Amino acid sequence: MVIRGDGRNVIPEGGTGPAHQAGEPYIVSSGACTPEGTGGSAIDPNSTAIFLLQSKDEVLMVREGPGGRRIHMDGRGHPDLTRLTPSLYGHSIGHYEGGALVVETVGLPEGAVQGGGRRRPATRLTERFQLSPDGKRLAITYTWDDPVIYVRPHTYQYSFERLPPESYAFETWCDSSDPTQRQSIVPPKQAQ
Amino acid sequence: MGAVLLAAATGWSAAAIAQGRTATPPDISGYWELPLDGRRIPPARLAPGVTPAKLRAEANKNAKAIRWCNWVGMPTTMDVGRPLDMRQGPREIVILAESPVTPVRHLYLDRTTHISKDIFDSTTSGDSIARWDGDTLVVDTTGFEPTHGVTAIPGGGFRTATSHLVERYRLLRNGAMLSVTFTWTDPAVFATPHSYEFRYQRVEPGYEARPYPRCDPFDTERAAFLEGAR
Repeated sequence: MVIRGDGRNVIPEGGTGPAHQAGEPYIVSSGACTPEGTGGSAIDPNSTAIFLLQSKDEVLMVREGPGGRRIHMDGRGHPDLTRLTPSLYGHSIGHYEGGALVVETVGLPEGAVQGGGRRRPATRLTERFQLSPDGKRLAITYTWDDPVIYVRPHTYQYSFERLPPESYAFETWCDSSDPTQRQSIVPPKQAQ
Repeated sequence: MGAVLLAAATGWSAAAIAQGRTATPPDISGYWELPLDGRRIPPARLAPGVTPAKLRAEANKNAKAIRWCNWVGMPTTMDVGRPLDMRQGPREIVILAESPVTPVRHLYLDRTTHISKDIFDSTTSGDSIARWDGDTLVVDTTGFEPTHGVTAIPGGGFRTATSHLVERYRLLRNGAMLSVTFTWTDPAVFATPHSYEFRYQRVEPGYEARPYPRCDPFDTERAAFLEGAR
């Protein structure tokens, strides 16, 4: 194994070769600790907690690091796509339908979608946030719609559990200057 | 998906958590911009132990943090050159900067004591608890991480593990302006408490936060520019 250049690319000797072996270090991301470096659009939550805060004209959705997603609730529409720079969170507008928060997003960069799908800036994502009657669970149903990509809308759902009342947000830390913080280890082969 | 995600849906609860409130407090929610003439920063009176060598070491550490796009943390979060998005809920107030390297601040209204040092891992933002004192929001923060991020404090000095920050937020000019007075206490750094004030202007309704400017720690031209400046 060799680490080339700035450490972002761990390439098997010779440039090509067998897959990484168990126990060998390899880089799991671009190597940068910034939101861009983590890949994806940041629309899909990962394994850290998410925090939602409603104010009268905006819902904030933040995680335990920099950046956050704004859902406009003040009745505005989306900007013209030709004037919208694709971004990690795209442009989101929301409204309530009964007890559910319905959010529509466009302007995401090209990339992958859960379940094998794809997205582009014109792809429309509709999310439906629905609390359970006891308030302890939150279901988010994602629906991706783009006739250029999908033969029919692509839908899946995440289910969240509410943290205990005394919980507080952690703050993640990642230092791009430290190569070890950007590495992960190929896990050993799992017993069948 | 593997792990079940957790949502502390602070705003989802309809129950007001703040206790002992007799009147509805002001709502500071909105986008707030710090204009060029919005800073009143007197020089800090530093403790005798803060030597030039110590200040140089801090400056080098801060330059490295910027070079590598590390989270900057407090107090830089409050002055990143773009509007701050502040949202007030019943349980907490969230401050979100338009920056890829600025952690989100959570100001908790629902507890009166800091998280025990036995379990709290210090962070660049610290642990913030907040309460309303009349029309003033008083935010008390401890638990700072001394080695991460940009530690420089406006007016001189730097944050350490023993830093204690008290902020006082107050709406002025019929809600068009937000005054935030910062007071840092730290016997390791300041001879007397160090205070300064920022006055933010409310950004007009309909504002669209812009995508974050990219911070690429592996941009060699950027790195050469920054390292050449040291």
